Amino acid sequence: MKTIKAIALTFAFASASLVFGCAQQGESAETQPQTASEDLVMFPGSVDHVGIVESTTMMLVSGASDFATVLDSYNQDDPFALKTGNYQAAFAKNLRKFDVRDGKSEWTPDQVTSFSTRMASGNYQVIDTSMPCDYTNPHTYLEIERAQLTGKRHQTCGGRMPNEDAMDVTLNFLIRGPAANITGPGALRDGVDQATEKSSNTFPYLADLNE
Amino acid sequence: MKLKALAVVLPVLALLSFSSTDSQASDHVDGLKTALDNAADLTDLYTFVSPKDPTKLVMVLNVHGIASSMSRFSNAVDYKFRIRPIDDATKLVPAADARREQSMVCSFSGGIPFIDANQHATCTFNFGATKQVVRFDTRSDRYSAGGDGAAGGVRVFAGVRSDTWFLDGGKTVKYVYSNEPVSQAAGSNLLEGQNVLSIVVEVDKQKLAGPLLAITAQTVRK
Repeated sequence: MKTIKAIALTFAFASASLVFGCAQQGESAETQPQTASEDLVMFPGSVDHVGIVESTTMMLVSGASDFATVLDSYNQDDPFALKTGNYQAAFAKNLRKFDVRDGKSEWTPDQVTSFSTRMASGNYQVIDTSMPCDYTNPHTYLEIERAQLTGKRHQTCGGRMPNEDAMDVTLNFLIRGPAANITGPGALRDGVDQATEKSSNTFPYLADLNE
Repeated sequence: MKLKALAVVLPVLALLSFSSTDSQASDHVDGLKTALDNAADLTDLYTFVSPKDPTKLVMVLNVHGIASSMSRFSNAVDYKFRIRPIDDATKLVPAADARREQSMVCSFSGGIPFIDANQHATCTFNFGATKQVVRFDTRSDRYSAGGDGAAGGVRVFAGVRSDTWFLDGGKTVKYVYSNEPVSQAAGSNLLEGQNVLSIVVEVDKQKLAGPLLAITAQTVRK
């Protein structure tokens, strides 16, 4: 199924590239930057930003219709200065929805306000480079945010390492609350614990391409 | 006009095949614009201290969730890491003053679509008071499909790597869109065998604005 979708996507992109490229060339080639002429589309400005895993497709949107409206607007904003008022209600609403997914409510109203405000104001990872990152047993993603939300001092570097199961962290964080761990009784998982190939501990860290 | 309409409709259909009922995110294809612009579609960000050298910060950004060995970065896009210090660990708010921001911006030139994947990379690290530029080609004998360069305490790689993201798509959808119990048994990685374009940066921690940092990655079309 994945392969079929990849082929469909590639075909669609290639087709659109040819069609759109011809249209652009015929109508306004002289006005287009030379370097952009080979690209599929030419929207100036911010295209995308990334920080927190699933900040958009899980935490911000409520359905497929938001893909063409909310998400493009969000991605075009400055990730250090999002238009908070445009997104906070949606982040808070979806967080409250996740919170009761397991039949229990672990997020306090103050925690919901704090995290939805943070997500609606910026999309970034927090790392403390003075604290330890255990690369071989990575459990640091969102640890700084979870500590802050629960009134504790963080114990790790935070940030995000390639081999950490960020989806399990995200599921447990959203559904079981900021105090929950991704292991132990009641922990949630999706049953996939590593990428196609694990990342190594030497530069450039990420595994070689799949042929 | 028909051509333009077709150009819009085809990718939208492709996007719908990736609709929220079968999402690949973490940040893969998260909007119409990024679905159309896959060379600028950021899929993941990683930030960590090097396991080999604790004096180095490592930052990784991935784009283009359906990359192959011939995929190229866009010559019309700036690929940015942006870093701001956090002054108060109890609030975790990045500095509001943009003048305190440090950045690494990579841009690319050269190469020919589908024929020559080798591009010339220029990555400029703005430390605030000083700048460091690293230039290199994105194909070299050192990697299957990548290249690297180093200068002044900054090392950069750019090229094709195995996608680092992993999840069971069906179970994730069930967690998000239903209230039914989800099996905790082994799942199937939706991203199995897929590749991305990656930029990996190693930089001396002492060049950064502090130990507690907010880091984001952004693609900006010129």
